[in-house]
Amino acid sequence: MSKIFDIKCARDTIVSKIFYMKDAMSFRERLAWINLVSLALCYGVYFVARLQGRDSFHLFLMCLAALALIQVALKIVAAARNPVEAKAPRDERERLIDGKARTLGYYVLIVGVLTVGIPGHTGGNVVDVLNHAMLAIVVAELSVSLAQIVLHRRGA
Amino acid sequence: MPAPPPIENQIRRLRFEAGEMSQAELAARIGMTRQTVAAIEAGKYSPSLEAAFRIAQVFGVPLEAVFQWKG
Repeated sequence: MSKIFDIKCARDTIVSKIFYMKDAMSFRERLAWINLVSLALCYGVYFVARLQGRDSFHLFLMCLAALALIQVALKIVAAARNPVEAKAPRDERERLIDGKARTLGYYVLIVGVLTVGIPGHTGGNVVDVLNHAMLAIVVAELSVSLAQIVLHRRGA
Repeated sequence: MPAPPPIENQIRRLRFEAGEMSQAELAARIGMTRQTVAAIEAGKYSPSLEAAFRIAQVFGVPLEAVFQWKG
């Protein structure tokens, strides 16, 4: 009996790795990846432009619009691929992962907020301070998404 | 990386004995995701007491038949 169990266990492991790879990632982890990639892409473009000295409010609005469009589109696709998981509430492990990730994000945000005044004291103007504040929020959100992904991968 | 909890479980064997129940089926019956069931089975996540009781109820066995404390 135990030999049959071992053989069937090995078969199940191989079958699940081949056929269920698309389900290896949970819906919540997919959302975290979507957040991470879209935030990094859209705000990355904006802040790189700022570092290059290009000061454009229009670029900021375009990046914001692109972020909203990308996130909505990708999240709809993710929900369509897995409607059962998308409709289900977070289970206890997902709530735990969310809590841990958001706690980390809170501390990252606190550090960012404490540094917001630096541009003002180093010759920057109001726009520099506001961009610094936005950067703090973006970095905090990125850290939340990254933490969620790591915890999902690790099994929390 | 924190040490895994000193808890062993027999979920995989119990699934096999319950007509080769899949992780997804067990997950659906206890109201969790397949990934959470996989994490519990692999010992990477300790379920709550309620979840542990639900798992035992699905298999129709006492709690200690599913989870064993090795601490």
